[in-house]
Amino acid sequence: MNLFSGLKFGYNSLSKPSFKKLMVVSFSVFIVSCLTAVFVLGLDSLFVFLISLFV
Amino acid sequence: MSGPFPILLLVFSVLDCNVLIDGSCIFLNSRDLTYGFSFRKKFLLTVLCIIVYRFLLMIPLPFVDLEYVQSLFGSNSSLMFLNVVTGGSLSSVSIVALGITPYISASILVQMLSVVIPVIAKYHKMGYTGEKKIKRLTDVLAIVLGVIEAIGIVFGFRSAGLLIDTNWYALFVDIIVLIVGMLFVVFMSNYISDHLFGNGVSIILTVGILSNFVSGVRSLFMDLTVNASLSTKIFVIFAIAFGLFVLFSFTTWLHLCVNRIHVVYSSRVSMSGQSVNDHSVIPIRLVGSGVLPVIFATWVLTFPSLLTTLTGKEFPWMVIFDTSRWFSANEWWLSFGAILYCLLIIGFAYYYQNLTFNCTEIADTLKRNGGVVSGVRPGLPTAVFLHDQVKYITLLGSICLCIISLIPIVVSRVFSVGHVGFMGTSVIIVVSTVLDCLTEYKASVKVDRYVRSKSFFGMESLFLLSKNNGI
Repeated sequence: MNLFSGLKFGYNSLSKPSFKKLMVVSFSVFIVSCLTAVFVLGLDSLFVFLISLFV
Repeated sequence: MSGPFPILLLVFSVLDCNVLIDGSCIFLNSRDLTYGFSFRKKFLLTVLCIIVYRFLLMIPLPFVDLEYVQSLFGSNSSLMFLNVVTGGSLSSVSIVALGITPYISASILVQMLSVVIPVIAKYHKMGYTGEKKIKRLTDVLAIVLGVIEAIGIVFGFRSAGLLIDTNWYALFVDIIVLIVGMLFVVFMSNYISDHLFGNGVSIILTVGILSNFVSGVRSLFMDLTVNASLSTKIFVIFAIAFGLFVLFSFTTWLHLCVNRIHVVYSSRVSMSGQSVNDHSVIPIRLVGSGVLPVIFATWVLTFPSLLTTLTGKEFPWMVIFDTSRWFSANEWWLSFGAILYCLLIIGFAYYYQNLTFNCTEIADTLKRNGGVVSGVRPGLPTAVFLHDQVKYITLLGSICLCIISLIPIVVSRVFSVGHVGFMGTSVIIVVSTVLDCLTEYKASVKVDRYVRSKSFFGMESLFLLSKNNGI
């Protein structure tokens, strides 16, 4: 088996998620990541503000 | 269960139900009332750990010239990657600047050593006791690596002129503070993994990456919209959001793709006297090694650059490792660095896959337990079949990893923007962590529903849940 047919064999043997499932899961992951990023940013800003009050 | 114990449980459960009915926990529906207590407590404690970690990141290491360090990190793209992964702790030179990296290095090293040292390989087969021994070994190795890294960082800072005070007392204090900070982060990540929600190491890494996410998107937007009109700015916002979503979707797709090899076990007689055929599945993931090959490859690439920065000596051949100079039309030969990077990723992916998925061992285990892969003879033919499957899937997965890790470099080159550290490798870490957390949550809810469906008036489930909660 050469490289390309091997890759094709590997790709065909995979069970892939449906488009709908992929969209739902990736949207959930994207939203959770964005919310966490905003939360951490807010947290950092809060700490910077609190530290600036005391220093 | 005797004495006031069941009554206490009932009171706890009712109190918790009331809280949840008020709608304070948005993650659970009305069927997950008793589950909410455990999950909410674990989730809130995990958030508390994150808050403590972010607070510690704000405290700078004593005797360090912060402004000079930040200017140094802004100009070096390789150091920027390390900085993104450690959540900005390196550029801010906080007391937890070492972060979780020594522990990750130690765990990778222990896994690698299991091939060379038979005792560690034996621990892997010993079950729970072996796991505990491996964990202890990883902790010790993490401390050793942490001490070495702390000494290296502090002396490197001194030789690069980043320290305000360079006497022995200042050096000693900085080393001790870095080691204690690292130990605290390792303790916290272990606590999250053992008692709370998700994998501690992944969560700390993810939080570190996401802390740079908003500022990264903002700087990309600013770079792309210099002197642009309002309509262009709106278009760029949507383009960035769409691009990120596509990247997240592709990474999620990589994590969801799996090859399920069906195994049939020989018949056995059940309690009722009927003949039963057992089935199971051997999953081979497209990116079974996760992000580790990319981290390995990046560390190999970062090392010469780090050495140059810290020692101040320039070697001409080190230019090839500078990611900001890849894919340039004028210096096309420097793109060989990208090829080397991809080869390292593929090589490490194969190495790690061989470590974690031993085809011969799996084939032997199947044969011993009377299991047969459909259409393949047991023993050596099964091992060859599994090896063929793993070989091509790993190659495909590692090529996908190469594509994702090269995206930030290509984007920064094509659009002539600064380092886009929040794309690529960082997305792989974030997606895998979030997917793990979602899977863990889903599995816990399923177990909880099953326990409640088997109980009578909920008392049995309350007892089981109380055991899980440690009441």
